[in-house]
Formats: sequence, C-alpha cells, structure tokens
Amino acid sequence: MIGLIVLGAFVSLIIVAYLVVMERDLASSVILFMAFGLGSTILYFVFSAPDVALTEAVIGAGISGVVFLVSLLQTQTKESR
Amino acid sequence: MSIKKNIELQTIISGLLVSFMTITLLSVLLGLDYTDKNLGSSLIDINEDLTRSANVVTSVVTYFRGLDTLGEVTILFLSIFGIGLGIENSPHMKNILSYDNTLLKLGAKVLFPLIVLFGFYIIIHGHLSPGGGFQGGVIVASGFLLMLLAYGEAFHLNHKIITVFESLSGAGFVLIGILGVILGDIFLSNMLPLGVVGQLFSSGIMPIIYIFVGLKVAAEITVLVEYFLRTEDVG
Amino acid sequence: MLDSLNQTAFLHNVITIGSFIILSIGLIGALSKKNLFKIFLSLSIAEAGLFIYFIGSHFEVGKVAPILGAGVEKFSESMVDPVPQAMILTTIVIAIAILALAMAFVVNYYKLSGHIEIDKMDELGEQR
Repeated sequence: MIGLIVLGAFVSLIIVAYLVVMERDLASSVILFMAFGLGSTILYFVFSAPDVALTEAVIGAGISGVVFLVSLLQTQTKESR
Repeated sequence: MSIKKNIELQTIISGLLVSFMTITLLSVLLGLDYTDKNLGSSLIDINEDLTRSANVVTSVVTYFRGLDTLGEVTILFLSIFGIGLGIENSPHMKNILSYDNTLLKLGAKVLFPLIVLFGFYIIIHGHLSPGGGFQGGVIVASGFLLMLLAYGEAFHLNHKIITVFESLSGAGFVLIGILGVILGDIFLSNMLPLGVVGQLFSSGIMPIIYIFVGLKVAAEITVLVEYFLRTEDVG
Repeated sequence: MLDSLNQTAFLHNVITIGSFIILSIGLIGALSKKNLFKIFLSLSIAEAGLFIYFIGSHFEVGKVAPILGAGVEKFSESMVDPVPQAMILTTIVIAIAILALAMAFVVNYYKLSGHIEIDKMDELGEQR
C-alpha cells in the first residue's frame, strides 16, 4: 500500500513540476506550484515526518503562493517568447 | 559554417558530460544506505535521559542543535531586514489584493482568533506532539494574512508591538543561552528541572526556547506578508 | 507483486530517482528560462526535490515518527532518524524568507527598468 502511495505521489509530483516549469501563463504556474506543495505534504506525511508536513502545508500551499502571486500582480503576468 | 559546427561539437560534449555525471551521481546515490545505526538512533537512545521530551525532532532543534537554530533565526531576521530595505513601504500604501465583501469579513473575523489560538497551541505543545515554534509561528502568520486579505486597509498592524515582540524574543533566546552558561555548564544547557515525559511543564528550557522562536517567526512572517501586500499607492 | 513494492530498498530507489528527476526539472528550468519570475519558481522546485530526498532517504517501512503518542509508549529502534527532519524543518522556513527577499528584488527591478527578462538586461553595459 505504502509503495503505491509513494509511486503515485512521485509520478504526480514530477508531472506537476514539469507543468510548473513549462507553463507560459505565470499565474497558472504559481497555482500549480501550490499544488506541488500540497503533494509534497502528503509525501512527507507518508515518510513519517509530521513536523515537516505541518510546516510544508502552511508554507508550500499558503504563504509562498501569496508571495509569488502578489509580486506577480506588480509585474507582468505573461512570459514573453 | 564553422560556427555552426563549433556549436554542435559543444552541444555533444556538454550532453555527454551531463549524462556521465548523472549516471555517476545516481549510481553513488543508489548505492548509499542510511538505514544502519547512525546519529539519529543514538540521539533517540539518549533523548529520554537528557531532555524528557516526547518529540525527538523538538529535542534536536532546540537542544542538540540549539546554537544552529539561533543562527537560522538570525538568517530569517536578516532576510526580512533586507526585504524592508528593498520594498518601499509607508502607512499610506494601499493593500493591492483587497476587495469589499461582507461575508468574507464576517468569516475572517470568526476564523482569526481560532487560527491564532491553534497556532499558539502548536507552539506551546511542541515538545509533546508534532509541531513547535516554526510551524506554529507560520500558522499564526497565516491568520494575520487572512485578516489582511479580507479587510484591506481597515486592518492595521501595530508595528511597534510587532517590533517589541520580535526583539524581545530574539533577546530572550540569547538570554536563555547565557543563563545556561552561568547556571549550567555550556551555552543553552538545560538548567531547569526536567519533569516527567508527557506533561506540559517538562523538559526544561525547550518549551521556553520554542515559544521565543514561535513569537519571532510569527512576527517576521507577518511583517513579510504585510510588506508584500501593502505596496500600492493610494494616491 | 505488491509485496515487492513495499520493500524499503525498492522505495529508496524510487525516492532517489524521483527526487533526482524533480531536482533536474527545476535546474533545467532555472538554466533555460528567461523570465526572472520563472527562474525563482524553478529554483523552488529544485529545492523541494532536495528536501524530499533528505527526508525520504532516512525513511524505512514500518518505522514510526520519532514522537511518543497513541500506540507508541517508549523510545526504541523502530523510529525514523530525527536529524534530517529537524534540518529540513528549519530549512523550509528559511527558504520562504530567502524567496521573499528574491521576489522583493525582482519587483524593485521591474519598477526601475520595466521588464523582468534576463535577455533585455543591459545595465552593466553588455552588448546585445
């Protein structure tokens, strides 16, 4: 069971990381990055590290997204080709 | 023609180099085995006698690596200081993400004390359950973030109180360490009575250090979020 | 078949290769993208891959978190290594502060120059 969870979490994390890097729209990229933080939270919990999971849940899925989004609102929102 | 040939040669060489380094690194990493008896298992062995805390991660952060935690809190302070220098900020700046919504304001008002209470619960019970100063401080800061998003300019942070909290908690950490030198034998030594495993008042100086760390992290992340949100000129 | 998935050695291989791929995706993004914003996003991804490797390499199937609680009455050999957890715990909080510092510099650079593309940077007198 735990092997399946780890495998699935890694596959989805790699897909989401690829999408974050390749996405042209920077706002979608930030939202995908917050999803990446949520996925790594699950992984930390499976690795029996609840302390790290608690930190990553607040920072990866909350505050880092706000920091990115707010600085994005003050600059340009599209990546030029 | 010669330039194009050059670039192709460079690409091939760097590609070969990268794949060689990848294969070498992966073979080294896959051959490693961390599951023998190591530093962590010996720390778990001596944890109950030395600290009487139920959470070994907390013991490592606040006692076995206490000096490193002091350095990390200093890095946190320095980077927030750099942001304060870098972003222009004045009381006349408007919150750029605010919009008027009565339902959101009401919900935020109900949720804010609960979030802050939960954060302080996580901070204070750091030596008994998962959690501690870093996690709880960030949770408290996320409560302030909710209020800043919901209320906009109507929610004012008192910067004097935040500064007092931050500097007092930083100074308190160092003071606990120096008291350890005077009353005990080394910097950050455990000079208070240890108590019983699993009780709130136990494990010596560790809850006190985590309360200081939690206050400092909460103040700093709150100021960080406010710097980032309040950057648009009102007029 | 499913039993072999739950072995610690197999999981360590999965963790090593998976976090290596995440780290590589982040580094490739940081090296190939032209937008400052995207560069720092990619660096955060690379950082997260490193964190997952640190925590995962010390994980073993059947070991519990190093915390006393319900069902765990005493400290024993069947607890995972607490040292990498404590290191990564502080590193995550430091990483968000450093990231915010970088974002502050990016915003200030945009206000001064009007773009955040590293191709258009010529403040030091580069020839384009």
